[in-house]
Amino acid sequence: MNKTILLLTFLLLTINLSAQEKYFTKEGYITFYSHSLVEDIKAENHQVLSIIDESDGQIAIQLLMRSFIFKKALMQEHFNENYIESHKYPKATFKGIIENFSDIAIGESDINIKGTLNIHGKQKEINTRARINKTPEELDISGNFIVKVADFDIKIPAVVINNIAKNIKISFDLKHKPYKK
Amino acid sequence: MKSRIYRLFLITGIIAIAVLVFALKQFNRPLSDIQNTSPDIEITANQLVHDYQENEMKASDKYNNKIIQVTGIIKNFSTANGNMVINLESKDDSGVICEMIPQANKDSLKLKKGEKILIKGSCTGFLLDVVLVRCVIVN
Repeated sequence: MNKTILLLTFLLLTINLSAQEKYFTKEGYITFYSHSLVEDIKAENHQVLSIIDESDGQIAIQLLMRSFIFKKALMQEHFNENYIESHKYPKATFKGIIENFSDIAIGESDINIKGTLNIHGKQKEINTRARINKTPEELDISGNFIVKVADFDIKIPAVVINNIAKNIKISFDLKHKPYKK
Repeated sequence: MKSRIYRLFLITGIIAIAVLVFALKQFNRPLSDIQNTSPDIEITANQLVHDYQENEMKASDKYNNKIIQVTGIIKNFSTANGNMVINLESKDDSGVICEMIPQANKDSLKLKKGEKILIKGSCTGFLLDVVLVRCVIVN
């Protein structure tokens, strides 16, 4: 299977193909942050894939769980092996829509994004405000939202229950460029 | 009798301290040093991409979370939060994305497009490209 077919399949699965132009990045940035009395945990992922369909504002985001980099090896191991189970659920996805996308003018503005987040095989509806910076060459979308660990059926052992926050802050910065065929 | 109890306390104390030191060290352990870890798999960028495209599930089992040493031609460079990212080409549009460790930035700057390179990193999976993180330049 060559890349074109693969990309088309991906676009078909995620976005209506009738669209004319797409914005795209392979180097989106997503972090999550857990604050607790015992310790703060932060992990960064620089390899986030995101595609926006210009015709209707649909957005599809994919990332690899193992691409999250932590400060401490033990955190990363626990995250992948025990909590997120990266061997079973290697990816997280978000599929949604940027509301009133066609009204967005050049420059900075606030937008609303609505969609479904899929982590650890569990789905959760997300509705969040975000900041968009539109230029002819770039579509930069950034913001953050909070998710509950419990919503994704992630089991935290009692011994570290105080080390990990119940609510995790997810921040994103996705700098899309027009997709060239 | 007294000295026996004393000795028991001493031994227990030493063991307790040793366990504590070990636990703390384990807890604060940094990410593994890829530079000094020998690769689990050696492969070309072409073959790696091909394997994921053919059967992502099978390739994931084989390559994900493994230290992979990959040979390939440099397609282009980009940066991610100040870290160098080297993209390797394959036969079609997909490639291998190599996110370098900060210590490799200086050496990465000397590289040129089209050059053949040997990179070692931890494989995290496949989106549109195969992704390797915490990469170092081997040659």
